[in-house]
Amino acid sequence: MSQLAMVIDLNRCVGCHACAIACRAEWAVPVPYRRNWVKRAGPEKTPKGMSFTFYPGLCNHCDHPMCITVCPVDPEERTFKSKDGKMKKMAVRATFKDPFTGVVLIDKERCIGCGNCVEACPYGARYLNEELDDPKADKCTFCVERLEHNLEPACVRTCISGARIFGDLSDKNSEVYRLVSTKNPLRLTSKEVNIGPNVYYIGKEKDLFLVKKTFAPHERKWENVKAPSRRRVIQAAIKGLTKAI
Amino acid sequence: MNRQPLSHILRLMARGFSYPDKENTSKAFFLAVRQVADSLGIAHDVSAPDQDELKEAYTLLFINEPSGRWAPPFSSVYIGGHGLLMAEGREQAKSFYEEVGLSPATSGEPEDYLPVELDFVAHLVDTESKGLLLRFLKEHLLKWFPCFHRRLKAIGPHPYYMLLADMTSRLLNLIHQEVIDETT
Amino acid sequence: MKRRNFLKLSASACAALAALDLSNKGFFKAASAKASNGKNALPGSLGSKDVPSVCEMCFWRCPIVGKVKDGRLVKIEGNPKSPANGPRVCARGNSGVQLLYDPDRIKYPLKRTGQRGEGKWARISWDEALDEVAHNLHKAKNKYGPHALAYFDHGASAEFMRDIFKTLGTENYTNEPAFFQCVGPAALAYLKTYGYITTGTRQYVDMKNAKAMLLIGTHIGENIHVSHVREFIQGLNNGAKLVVVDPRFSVAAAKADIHLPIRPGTDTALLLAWINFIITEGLYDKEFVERNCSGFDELKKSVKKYTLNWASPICDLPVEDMKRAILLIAKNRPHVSIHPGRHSTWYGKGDTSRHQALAILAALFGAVGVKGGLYFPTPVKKGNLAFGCVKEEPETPDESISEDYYPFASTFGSPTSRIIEATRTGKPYPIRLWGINGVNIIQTIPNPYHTMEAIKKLDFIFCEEILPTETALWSDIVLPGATYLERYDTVYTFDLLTPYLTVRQPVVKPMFEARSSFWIARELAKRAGLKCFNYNDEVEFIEEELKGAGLTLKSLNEKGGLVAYKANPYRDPKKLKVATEDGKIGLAIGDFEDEDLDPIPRFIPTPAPPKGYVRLVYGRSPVHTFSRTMNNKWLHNEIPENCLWLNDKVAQKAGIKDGEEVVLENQDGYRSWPIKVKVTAGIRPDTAYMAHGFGSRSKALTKAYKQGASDQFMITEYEDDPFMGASSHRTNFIRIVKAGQAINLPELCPPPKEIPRFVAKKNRTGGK
Repeated sequence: MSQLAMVIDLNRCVGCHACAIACRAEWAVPVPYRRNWVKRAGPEKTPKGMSFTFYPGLCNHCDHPMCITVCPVDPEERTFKSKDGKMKKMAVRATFKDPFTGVVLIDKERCIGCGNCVEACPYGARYLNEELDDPKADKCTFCVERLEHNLEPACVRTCISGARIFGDLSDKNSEVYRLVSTKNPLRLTSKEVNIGPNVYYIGKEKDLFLVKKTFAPHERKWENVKAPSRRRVIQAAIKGLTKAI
Repeated sequence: MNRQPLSHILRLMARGFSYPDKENTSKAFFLAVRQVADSLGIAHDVSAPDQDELKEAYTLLFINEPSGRWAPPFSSVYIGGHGLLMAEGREQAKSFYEEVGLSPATSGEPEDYLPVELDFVAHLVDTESKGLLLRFLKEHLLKWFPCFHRRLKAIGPHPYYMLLADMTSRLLNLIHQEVIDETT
Repeated sequence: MKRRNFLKLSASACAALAALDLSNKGFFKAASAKASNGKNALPGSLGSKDVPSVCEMCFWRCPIVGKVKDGRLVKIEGNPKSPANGPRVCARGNSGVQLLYDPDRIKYPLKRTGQRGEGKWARISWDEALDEVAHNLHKAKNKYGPHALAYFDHGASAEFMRDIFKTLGTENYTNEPAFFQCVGPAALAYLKTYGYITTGTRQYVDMKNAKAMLLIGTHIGENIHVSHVREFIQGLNNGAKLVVVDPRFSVAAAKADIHLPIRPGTDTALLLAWINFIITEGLYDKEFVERNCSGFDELKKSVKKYTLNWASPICDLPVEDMKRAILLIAKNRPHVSIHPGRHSTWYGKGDTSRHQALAILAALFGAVGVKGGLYFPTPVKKGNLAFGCVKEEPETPDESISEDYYPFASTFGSPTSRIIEATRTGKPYPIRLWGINGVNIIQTIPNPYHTMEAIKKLDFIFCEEILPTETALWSDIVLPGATYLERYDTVYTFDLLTPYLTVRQPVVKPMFEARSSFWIARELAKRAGLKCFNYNDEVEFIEEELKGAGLTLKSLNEKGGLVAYKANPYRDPKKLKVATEDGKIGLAIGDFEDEDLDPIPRFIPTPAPPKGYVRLVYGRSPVHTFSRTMNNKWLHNEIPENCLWLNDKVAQKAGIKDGEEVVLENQDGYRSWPIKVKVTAGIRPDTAYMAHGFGSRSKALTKAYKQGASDQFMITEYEDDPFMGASSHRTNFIRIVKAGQAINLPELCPPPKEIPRFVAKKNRTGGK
C-alpha cells in the first residue's frame, strides 16, 4: 500500500504564503475557509536558541484518520483503483482513506454536510463550506485531480524556495522516503493526539521545538463529536431524495 | 396587456440602471418611470432629477464609493461568497445567455451587470421562454437581486435609484409568481 | 404569458412607455459559437489556456502564465520556461486574479465633485477626462512656466506618461518615490564605487554560490522577490554561512549563524570598524586591492580611528561577536555575498556612506566578479525604441530644486521632498500641477501631512490608478489604468544570473473602461498637441524591439513567451576593468570630494530616541507590496493588519501585554490608528517595528481601510541625504497610548555619549 506524504523543510521556508494562496486559487476556496495555511511562531527563546519559524499546514492524511470515524453516512461499497490497475472493493462512508494512495477524501455526492468530521479533526484541516446552497465538508486532497494529470499539488508547484517535497512514502527511492528516514522529522503529534499525520517537518532543532510547542494538537476532538443525530441524518437523506426527484 | 409593455418596463429598468445620459434622464424617461411606478402601486416622490446630480449619485452607488457604502450591480459580488467580479455569478448568467445563443455586447462590463440581466429577462418575456425564465429568476437573478436591494436600502441612496430598485424588485417578483402560476 | 392581468398598466403608463424607444438596445448579440458545456470542464486550473506575461504585483516582475478559462483568468502560475522562477510565484503573484476582479477597482474615468480628499466623484468620458488634463497641463505651464509641472511615478505603467512631462520641459519629470524613498543612496554609492548600479531595481549579488553572506538590515524572506529568495535559500542549502545585522530577529536572522542585534543608526560604525579590522589584521585580498582598486591608502588612513573597541558601545555589540562575524566572512573570501541592500533611505545623513562602506567591504574581500560575490549584469539584446518625443528646449530654472540642492540628485530626477516643499511654499518656484502614476504618494513619502497640505495648494492634480487609493481621493481627475494582466508593455529583459527576454501581454481584455498606459499617454499627448509616440499601439513597438533580438511576437509566443540566455556574470580579476573613470573600484570617491562631500565614509551618528520613546523601524509583510495590495481579498485574508513588535522587557515594565491594542504617538504628537502589540524578545529595547503599508486612510479601499497602523503617518521628521536628496524614514520615535493616556517607555539601553539625543520641536504640530 502506498502512502502519499509531504515533507516541509523549515530551513527553506520563508513564510511567504504562496502555498496557501495557490491552493485557494486552484480550488476557488472561498475566504475565510482554507485548506492550506501558514502560521507563525516567535521570535521566542527556546532551549535551543531563539527561533522565528512557520507552521505551513494542510490535511495530514493521517494513518488513523479520526475524521472518517465520525461520519454518520451509511457505509457503501466503493471500488478503488490503483495507478497500476489493481482494484479493491471497500465499504466506505462519505469520507474515507483511499487504500492505494493513503489520501483522505470526501465524496461530495454523499456528504450530508453535518460537520462532524470538521469538528473531529484535531488539526482544523476541514471546513464546512456554508457558501454552498447545500453545505459540504471540504479540505486538502493532496490535489489528487492534478496528480491524475501528472501535475504536482498546487502548493508544491508554487513553493518559491522548494520547501515542500511530495511523494510516496512507501517508495524507498522517493525523496520523501529519504528525508523522512534520514532527517529525523517532526510529526505534529502529542501524547493525547497521535494519529499518524503524513505531513512531516524537517529543520533546525529550535524551530521544530517551537512548532511542536505552539501547534501540536492536544485535544482529542473526535471524542467530543456528538453521536450522529439520527434526525440530522434522516433530514439529509430526505433532502437528497428530493433533489434526486 | 400584451407582452411588449412588460418587456418594455424591464428595459426601462435596464436603461434606468445604466449610467445617466441624455436619453435615460429625459423628461419622457422620468415620466415613464413615474407612470409605471404608479401602476405598480409604488408610492414615490421623485421629481425629475438633474443629470449631473444623478451622475454623481450613480457613480457613488454603483461605481466607486469612498466609504464603501455602495452596491455593486454585479451578481458575482453576491453569489458564491467570493465578493469578486467575474466569479460564479457571472458564470451562471453567461451560461443562461448561452442556452439561447446570446452573448452580451457590453463595453467592458461583465456579463452579470444588472442592466444586462434585466435586458435578458425582457428577452425571455418577449420570446415566451417560460421554463428558462423561471430558472433564470429562481436559480440566479432572484438569488442576488434581493441582496443588492437590501444593500441599497441600508445605504439610503438617492430616491430615484431607490425607486428603480423597488420597482424592479416588485416587477421581478410579480413575473416570478406569474410564471410559477402558469407553469404549474 | 397568457394571463397578463397580473400587472395592470394605466393608459398613461402605456403611452409614456410607447414614447420611448425601448426595443432591444443592443445589450446582446448572437453568440458566435455555443460555448462548451461547463459541466464537462476539468476541475481547478486544469484544461486552461495559458497566456505568457509578466507579473507586476511587485517590481521584481517575474515571468508568469495567466490560466484562462471561458474568458476569465482562473489562476496565475510562474512561466515554466523562466530560468528565474519556473512555475513559481509568490503569494502576491498568486493573487493577481483578485486585483483584476476587485469590485473596488477604478472602472471609468472619474472627475472629482466634492472637496479634495473627500472622494466624491462622477464618471466622465475618456474624451472629457483627457481634454481636461491636457487643458490643465497647458494652463499651468503657460501661467507659471514648465517647472510648475511635476510627475510622480513608479513602474512600467508610468514610463510612457513620463515622456509627456519631459516633453513639456519640466525638470520635475521623474521623481520616483522608488528612488528617493528607497534605493537612491545605495544605487549612488555603488554606481560611484563600481561604475554600475549594483543595487537598485536589482541586486547583483551571487548568494546562490556564496560560501558566506552578510546582510545588513536586509530582510530577505519578508521582502519576497522570488528569484532573489530562491538564490538566498539555495546558498544556505549549499552550506553558506550567514551573518545578519539587524535590531530585530527577522526571518533572515532566524536562519543566520550569527545575528548581531545592532543599535539602529550605527551600521556605518560597525562597517568602518570591520574595514579597519580586516586592513589591520591583513585579512583583505591584498592582490585584488592593489590591482583593481584605487584609494586604498586614503581609506586605510581614514578608518584608522574606528576600532572594534570604539564601535562596541556605539553599536551596543560585544567586541567578540563583531570579531567572530567578520572572521567568518573573511575566512570564506572571495566567495562572499556582501549584500548591497535595497531600501536604503534610513537616516538621511550617512545613508550613501553606509552603502559605500558595504561596497568597500566587498572590494576588500575581492568579492567582485567571482562566484558568490557581486557580479556583473548580462545585457540582453533588443531593438531600440524611438518614441520621437520632441522635447521643447528646457529653460533651466534660476534655482533648480534638484542639482542646486543635492549634487547627485539630477541623475535620477528631482527629490520628492523638494517638490513637496516647493509646492507648499512656492519657493524657489511655484509648482501647481501634479501628475501621479502607479504610486500612492500619501502612503509613500515622509510626512504625509505635508503632502496633503501641498496638494491643497495645487491648481490641478490627476492620477492614473487601478484602485481608489488615498492619492486617487485627492485627485481632480482619476484615469482608470489597465492592470498588468490587461495590457502590453515594452519588451522586458532580465540581466541577472538567469537572463531572459519576455513580454508583458494582455491575459484578458481590460475590464470596464480601463485602458493601457500607452494608450492613455498617447491620447493625452495628442490632445496636448505634443509630438510624441510614433507608434500606433504597443504591438507595433514590441515588434520593433523584438526585431533587435531576432524575434517576432508570434515566434516569441511559440517559444512559450520567453527566451533564456547564458549569463556572463563573472570576470577574471586579472583583467577586471570596471566602468569608473580609471577603470578601478573606487575606495575613495573623487566625485564626492569635488562636491565637498566625504570621499570616504565616516560615521555620522543619527540622534537617539528622546526619553520615553523608542525608534520606529519598519519592513515588509511577505504577502504585501508597499500599500498597494492591502485591499486584495486573498492577501488581506492572509495578513489583514500589521502589529507592533515591542521588546518583552520594555513591555513588561510599561505594563503592555501581548496582543493588546494600543495607539502610537510620535515625537511630534501625531497619533496612529489602533494596532496590536506583539511582545517579543526578538527586538531591541530601544526599537519598535511594524510592517509598512497598512492602516489605509482611504475608505474606498473597503478591506484595507483602518486595518492596522500606518508607519508613514508616524514619519513626520525626516532629513535629506546630502548626496542625492533622498528622505530619511527611520528618524522618528514613538511611545504608546493606552485609553487616551500616553505611556513613556523605559530606556533599557541608553546611548553612549557619542550619540546625541533627539531634541523634540517646541511646537508639536501633531493633532489630537
